[in-house]
Amino acid sequence: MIAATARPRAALAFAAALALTAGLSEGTASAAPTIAPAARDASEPASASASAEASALPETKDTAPSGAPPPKSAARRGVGVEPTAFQAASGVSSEGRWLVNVSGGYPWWSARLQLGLRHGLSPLFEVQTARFRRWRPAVGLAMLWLERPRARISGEALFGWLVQGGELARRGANVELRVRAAFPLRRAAPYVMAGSQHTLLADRTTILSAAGESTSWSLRGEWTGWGTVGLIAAVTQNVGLDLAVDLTWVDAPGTVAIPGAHAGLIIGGVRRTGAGQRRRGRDAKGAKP
Amino acid sequence: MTHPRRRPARAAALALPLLLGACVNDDTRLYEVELHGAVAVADAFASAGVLHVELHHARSGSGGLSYPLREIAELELDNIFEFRETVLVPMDEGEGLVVYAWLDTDRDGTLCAPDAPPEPVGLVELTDYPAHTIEFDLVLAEPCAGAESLYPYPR
Repeated sequence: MIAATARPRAALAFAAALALTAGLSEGTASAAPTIAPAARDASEPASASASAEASALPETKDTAPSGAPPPKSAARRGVGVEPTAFQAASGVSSEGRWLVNVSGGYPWWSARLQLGLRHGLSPLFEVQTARFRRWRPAVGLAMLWLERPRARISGEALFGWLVQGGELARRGANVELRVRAAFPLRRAAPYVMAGSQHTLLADRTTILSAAGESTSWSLRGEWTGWGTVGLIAAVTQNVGLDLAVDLTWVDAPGTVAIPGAHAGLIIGGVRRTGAGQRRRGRDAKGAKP
Repeated sequence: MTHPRRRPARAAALALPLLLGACVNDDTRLYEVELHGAVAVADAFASAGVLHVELHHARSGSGGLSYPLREIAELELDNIFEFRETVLVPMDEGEGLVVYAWLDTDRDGTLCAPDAPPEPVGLVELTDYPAHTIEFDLVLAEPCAGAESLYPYPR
């Protein structure tokens, strides 16, 4: 009975999410920012509608709240030319932009901060936990591999430390490699992510013999496979919502994979540059009598 | 004075043991015991065959989940009734030591298979444990009993 009532509710929630996405997709470009990537590949033939849209609405036009194009310096840095949501989906921020993605669900919760640098690189810091018993803080670097108007592929490498409490306590250095693909629509970006997480676990064996005590160390590995399929929708230029399903296989192949899902909130912005701060500093000095 | 280029290497050499110490996962402590055993067979049974010797913790678990006999090691000795064997006993997985043995007189690998003659078994608790050298004598005088039916000893 519970399942019978829960299923329509789940279907309703899913339909509502789809309706929200569709509603967002139908929004006009002038009223809200598009999710189109910052730079189109000039060699790629654009479709008639896409080219008409691009010519009618320069993408940099979407960035300013009033519809005015952003400053030239910002445009050069790729700042403000697409919503934060798409940059979260692709895992890479454009130069000068940052974002925070906080998500919760079952069993995984996470918080991620990433910052856009030049050459399609984004350093990131991430804290991930499973039911607050398995924690993995990590720093990493994301790199944009492929950028097309309707697809973006990136890779990430994270280096962290795994701490798991409880009966199956684990502690060890952790490395994760991820591949992401994001497919931008107008205001939403479906994405898929595959990850391979490796943890190095050290064991200690102490033998007490008549001759004394001897200690030896051994290393073993724990592998966790990870797959996520989700959708990130742009609410505003700097705010997005993330809905995704996860399939993780912790300590494979000796265990079973546990499916899960999460919902997240993405907030982003433009990083203040050093030049801007210096300019403000000089202005402040100049303002003194 | 340390050469500047060697400082990172030294720091890494110092940090590695600390890092390993901070990330111990399975910490296993083993107690090495040399067993000197002499096994005899009661007159009612055949005295030749393969001797199966099992070493058990006397007790493991705690509280309401405590239970007797947790197997640690097993030996097979062909017609050898006096032996010296070194075994490593996990220190954190139980208490006490018990030796259980049975003689496979028909060499079928099964204790008292149907239609087979009864095979002798015996059990002794090594009260000297913990000690690195333990001597014991064991007489196989019971027919077909498992270790669980012999320990704790019937009242």
